[in-house]
Amino acid sequence: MSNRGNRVPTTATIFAAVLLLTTALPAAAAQSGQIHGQPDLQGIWQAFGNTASDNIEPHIATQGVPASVGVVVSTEDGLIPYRPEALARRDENSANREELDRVNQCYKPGIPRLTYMPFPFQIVQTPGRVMMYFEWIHNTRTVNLDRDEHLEGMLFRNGDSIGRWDGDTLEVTVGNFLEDAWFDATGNWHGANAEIVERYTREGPDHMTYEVTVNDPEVYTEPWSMRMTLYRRVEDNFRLLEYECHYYRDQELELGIFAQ
Amino acid sequence: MTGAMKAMQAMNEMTNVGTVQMTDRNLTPRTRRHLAALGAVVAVLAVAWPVDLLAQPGGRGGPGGPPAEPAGPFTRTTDGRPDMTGYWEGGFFVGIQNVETPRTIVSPSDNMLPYRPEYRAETDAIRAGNMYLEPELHCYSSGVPHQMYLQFGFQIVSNPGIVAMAWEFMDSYRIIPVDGREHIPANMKLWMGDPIGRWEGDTLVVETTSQNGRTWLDTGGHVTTDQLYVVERFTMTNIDTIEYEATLTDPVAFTEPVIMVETFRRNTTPGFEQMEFACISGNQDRENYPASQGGPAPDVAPEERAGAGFEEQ
Amino acid sequence: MNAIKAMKTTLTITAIGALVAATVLPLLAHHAFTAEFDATRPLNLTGTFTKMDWVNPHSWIYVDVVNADGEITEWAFETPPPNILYRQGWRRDTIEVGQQVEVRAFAAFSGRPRAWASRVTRVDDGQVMLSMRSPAPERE
Repeated sequence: MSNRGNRVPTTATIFAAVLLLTTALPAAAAQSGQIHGQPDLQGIWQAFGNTASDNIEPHIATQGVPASVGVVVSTEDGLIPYRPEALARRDENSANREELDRVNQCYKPGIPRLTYMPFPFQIVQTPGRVMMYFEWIHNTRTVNLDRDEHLEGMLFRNGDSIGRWDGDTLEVTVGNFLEDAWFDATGNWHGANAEIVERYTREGPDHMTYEVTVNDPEVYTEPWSMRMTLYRRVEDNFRLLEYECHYYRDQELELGIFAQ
Repeated sequence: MTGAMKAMQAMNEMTNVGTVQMTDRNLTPRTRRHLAALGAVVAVLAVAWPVDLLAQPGGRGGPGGPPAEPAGPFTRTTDGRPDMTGYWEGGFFVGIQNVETPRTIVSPSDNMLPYRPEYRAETDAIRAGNMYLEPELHCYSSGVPHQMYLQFGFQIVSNPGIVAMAWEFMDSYRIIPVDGREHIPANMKLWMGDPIGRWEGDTLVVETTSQNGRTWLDTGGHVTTDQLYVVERFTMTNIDTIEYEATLTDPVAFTEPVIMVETFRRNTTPGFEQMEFACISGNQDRENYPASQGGPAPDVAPEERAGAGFEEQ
Repeated sequence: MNAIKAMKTTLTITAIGALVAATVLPLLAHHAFTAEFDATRPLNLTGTFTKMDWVNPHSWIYVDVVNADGEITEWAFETPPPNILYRQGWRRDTIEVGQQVEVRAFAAFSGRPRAWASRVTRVDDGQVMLSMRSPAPERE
């Protein structure tokens, strides 16, 4: 089936397309709701328009960053309930973001930030794992459905992810962070000891609610949560490509090899 | 028995498996099979290669491998395909530091890459004094087929319409659509290329186009170009074994196609899972590469190094 | 970690040796080992363990070594990545800060106090913590 060109679809091509959709595409199969006896979250997903990767709190527009009412839903003002010293550190992060932001260094951004960076990611499920593959520097997440304790002493930039099904919702507990990490490019942050719980709930064929609860008493006065919608990429022939941040950065710094 | 002892016993068993594999390899009819297939391959290539293969990357199965072994017991996905889901180990036979070994390259018959002179010269020059160019030293992706024999093995998820592979090494992945779609436009070049799969009976055939020519076939400087086109065949022979064969055509670098083989064994370690591998943030090697290998550090004579006087007696 | 402590040295050498036989070559494959380290001149260094970086693509063990002239040099020894160490039974307290360790290693051509560790032994109980096949020059 051709996905290029602007020709008017014929009955035959429409029929072929329908046949293909109903027999081959896993995303279409997802509408039937189950895979491996689990709710089917498979597909390529992306957060759009909420600018959460820039700033999860309410913000007016600045050059290159659209305005948003933010994604923090547990507080009335949409602000993160920082302890005073933690808020001061956020401001310091923000002021030094060029230097301090791990994303600018092409490091793993941590969870949940990776989920709503402006790049698509794909979910593929097995009976014991929910796999998430991200276009951004081919980050890969394994959500382990087979155990309920974090790995002893193993710390990761993207944390250690344990999943379980709560009805139709995939609930993922993320812990064992290697270091403090940011939620966005503004420097909103959590500590390495934070416990983060994500909830993925499919609302239909093409969108999913993504909720995150953050508990880190050293940094916040109370647990808080954010919520946003993830959209399925429905374009024909859509697939993950590559964003090899470290390669581009090496080129800029003339550290690496192979001129572009 | 302690956990550590169990792990070590498991590792001992793994080593034994490796020994058995090696013996198997020597005894199987596989080599003979390949030799027999080679005649047919050469016949096809004499007519078709390189123009035809490159002209229709989405429409051909490459030179065609041998027929699959009789299927052993393995499970199937809901759409009736062999279920390769699980963790796999490879790399026991492939010369990861140097692919030019008889266990890896079964064609050409001298087990060497059929480089044109300028590409042989480029590889020789890298190996002699420019190993700083090694992509993995910089945490860059490995490309295909190098990706298939990386250390620590890999995971396969085979679901209807998609086969996804994930490696612990550098957290890299390949997502192979098996849904009849087309390749990305030819001017787009990716580190891992653009893979598209289809089933030929119980064999998963994957065609990969659009590689960027910056990756090596091993960690030993064997270069590729952006004209590399790879057809891989994954055939489950039993629930714990996948036979792998890759046919590489690159009319710019090679004078004839290359066929490489490998066997993947299921990782049966209870509770095994892959962990994060954050290469970029932790990489401390490249700044230490000496100028004699193209790196930024000096070459220091042994008697001037920090370790002088501590040589092993 | 206690399990490792409890085992006899010989067993550890054999068992870890067996593990290494299965994995040592792939472990080197993040980059070409012999391009960075001098595989022809093994060193033996003994000193005080100060810290360990559990990072990829390789973990690092830091050891303060006293030179012949009495000066202290902080050495960084490249070791397998955390995933492999963890599966071998290593934990964060497998070697404790302040313990004496003997390291067989191959130093960098750069002359800096950095080396690839092929064997790490705890001095107080002779426990071999890590044993890897010695690197050989790459096959030509």
